[in-house]
Amino acid sequence: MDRGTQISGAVHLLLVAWVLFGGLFTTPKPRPMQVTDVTILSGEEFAALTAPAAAPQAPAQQVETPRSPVVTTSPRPAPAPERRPTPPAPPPPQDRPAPDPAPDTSALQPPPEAEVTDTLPPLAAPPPVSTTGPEAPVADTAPPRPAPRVAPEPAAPRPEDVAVAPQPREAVRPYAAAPSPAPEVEAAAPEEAAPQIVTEAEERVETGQILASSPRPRVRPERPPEPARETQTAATPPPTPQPTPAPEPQRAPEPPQPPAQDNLADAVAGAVADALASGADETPRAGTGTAASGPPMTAGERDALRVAISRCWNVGALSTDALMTSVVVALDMREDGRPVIESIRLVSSSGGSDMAARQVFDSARRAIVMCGSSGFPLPVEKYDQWRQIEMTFNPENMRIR
Amino acid sequence: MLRVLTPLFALALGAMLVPAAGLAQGGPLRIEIDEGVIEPLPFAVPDFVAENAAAAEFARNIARVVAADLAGTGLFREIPAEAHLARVTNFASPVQYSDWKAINAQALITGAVSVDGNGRLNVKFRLFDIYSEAPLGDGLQFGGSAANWRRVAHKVADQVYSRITGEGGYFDSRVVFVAETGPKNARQKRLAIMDYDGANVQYLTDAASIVLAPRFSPTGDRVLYTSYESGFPRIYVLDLATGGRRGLDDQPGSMTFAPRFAPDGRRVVFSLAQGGNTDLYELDLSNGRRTRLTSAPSIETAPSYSPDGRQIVFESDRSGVPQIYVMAASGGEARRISFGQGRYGTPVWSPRGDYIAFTKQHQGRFHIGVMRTDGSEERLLTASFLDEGPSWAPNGRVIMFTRESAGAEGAPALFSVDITGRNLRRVPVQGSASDPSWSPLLP
Repeated sequence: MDRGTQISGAVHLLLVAWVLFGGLFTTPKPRPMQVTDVTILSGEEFAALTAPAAAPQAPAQQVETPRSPVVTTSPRPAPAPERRPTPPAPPPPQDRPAPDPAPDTSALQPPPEAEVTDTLPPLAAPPPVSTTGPEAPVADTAPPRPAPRVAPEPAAPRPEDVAVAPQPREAVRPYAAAPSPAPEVEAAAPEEAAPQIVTEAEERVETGQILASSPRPRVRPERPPEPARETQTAATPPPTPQPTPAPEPQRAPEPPQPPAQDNLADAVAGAVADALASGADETPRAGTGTAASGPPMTAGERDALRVAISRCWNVGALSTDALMTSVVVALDMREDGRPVIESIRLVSSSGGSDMAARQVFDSARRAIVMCGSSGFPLPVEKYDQWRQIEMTFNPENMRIR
Repeated sequence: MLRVLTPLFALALGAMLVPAAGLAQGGPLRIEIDEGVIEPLPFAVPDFVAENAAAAEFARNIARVVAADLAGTGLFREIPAEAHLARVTNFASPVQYSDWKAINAQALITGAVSVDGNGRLNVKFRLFDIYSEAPLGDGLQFGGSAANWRRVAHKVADQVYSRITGEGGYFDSRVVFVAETGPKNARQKRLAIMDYDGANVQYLTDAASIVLAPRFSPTGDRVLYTSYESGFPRIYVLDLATGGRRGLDDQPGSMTFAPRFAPDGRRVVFSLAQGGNTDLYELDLSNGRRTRLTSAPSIETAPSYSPDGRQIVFESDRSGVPQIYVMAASGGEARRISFGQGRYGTPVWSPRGDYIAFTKQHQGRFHIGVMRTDGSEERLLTASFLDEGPSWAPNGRVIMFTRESAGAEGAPALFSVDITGRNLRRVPVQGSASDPSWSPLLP
């Protein structure tokens, strides 16, 4: 081989190495793009969208804007001393009515211990049932807070003769003279809801309820008069221990490098094998194969699904531990938008105990089953996009609502 | 040369194949649900099945107590029996889930009751998750005398509550309180004890002297309280099993009040006023040895231990107005944790250790509130003419307190509220009542 060929070969080798490792084919990290969803609508769809809809009435009196409680995180100067309330002196014994007779405590016994015995035998499986019965009225014994239901979107109290429905609708009465009378529809409105819990302390201050001091005998006695003294400042907090920097872990010695030729060949073989294997491992789906088809789901379509599930996700009975636990739930979907109930499974959880994760999963499962029984609002032409769904249920925002 | 170039080209080919394969995978649609609703969970509890004639009344009453316990938490809503489509006539029969789904029941409790020849009650129950179409936990059965049928019902409700919410129940517990009679200027006060729901009231003392601030021991077998029997406040401990009582730390010329047990039940922390000064002391019940915990010219009172017994939260006016402080259980320097406007008092550490409940007076109104143990996340739960004296439920989820109405006819009553501020309700006690102290769960 002549010298020119050798030089040419070496230069080409360097060129190829520069191309592969120099980053020529490495695309720079794409800058974030703002994407706006565009949906083509037909004339009928546009007319349907712009038709006047019965919007829920904004709550006027029932839901008030809550006020945040006063929370101070930093020490303040000691406030000026206030006048201590003077409790009424206990009445003299002679003014008291005759005391009740002493109770007979002879019969007072600690409650006997209840016994917990064996676990019951397992239940027989229920027979399959294909139809559901008619809906029956449900009594509401909700607690007396400003609104018994806390939901992302507030809703005014509905009239007594109006049914409960996720979306409000007006009553439609058939007009006999119309050429094609519309079917009769009863009015419906969503359940009354407030956007957050309103405690009694956050409600409006009622008038005429101002009290200067407690009329009850105090647990603490009256402080004896004493000469004026300088107000003692608050105790200084103990010095915060400074975290000591952790010692830097010693770097492990580099393993001896194998011969370059073997290393390169192994890397090539591994990369090719991985690439081919990842394609081969993809489990073929029924229908249209592995590739997603159709345009991607728009943000609006995703939001519609998210809102539909949020309306049914009741976190009211979750423990405080569960309210700090996030779970990922996977499920398969039918083409009609209904979930495959048997496929609902817990994928992972974070932030809490296994029991807390179980509580959150149970609540998530109930939400999916209840609101998915009539099908979620999903575009059927994009079925391959939502054939499988992974939902992350994170109740953190609902912890103190 | 060719041997060198071939692997390089193969490497480049592999690098191109990897992203191509990844693109073909698609993957599931991923969404995040971070908002939900907070509303009572609908449940159904049909009358339990009476397995013999003697159990008929118990079967109905136990189901009613279970329903009342659950609905009383505010976390659950009972679907009345009139709305039920299915009838449970046999405890072993399979559940028709579709019938319960149709009325939107999310949990179903079924049970059966029998009474044997000795008057012994046997109650078994099952809990079902209707939308999972499966039992929620195993079935359980409880036994006891027929006279204690309410306790058995509370135990069933505790199990249901625990399985659905994931935290302990509080229904099988008792409350000791001060029962009050007579007009405001001549009140008679007696110590009394009742079930948590106001049932089975029994009196522990007579009305000969004023009694204040009863406090349960950690095991629920003793009660500390303050009595003016001698004309000055003094601490007594009452044994609930025997009815016997004895005074603690009788020091001439001193007043003792605001006692509370340590979590181990062997020590008592209290306030002692002597020579015009009030400080905190700890008393060892086994040997009567008294240890001074604070030494300040201000008033230190209303101490309460942390659940691990290592810290004490108390009220002090060392800054000029009553505020809340935390110090080590052995005494020493205290750290102020309340910095809001107004006056803070009667702090009580939650049995879970996560919150401190307190009374706050600000702008002429009284509040029951909670804050983290470092003073953060202060949240006022109530507001009224007079609210005071919070006491925690055994599970640390509910607070019971005294509310007194205004006016000449005003009288104290017991109220409870969830720590979220929901479900504020009056505890049904006959007559006037104040100063509640919640027991631990009964064994």
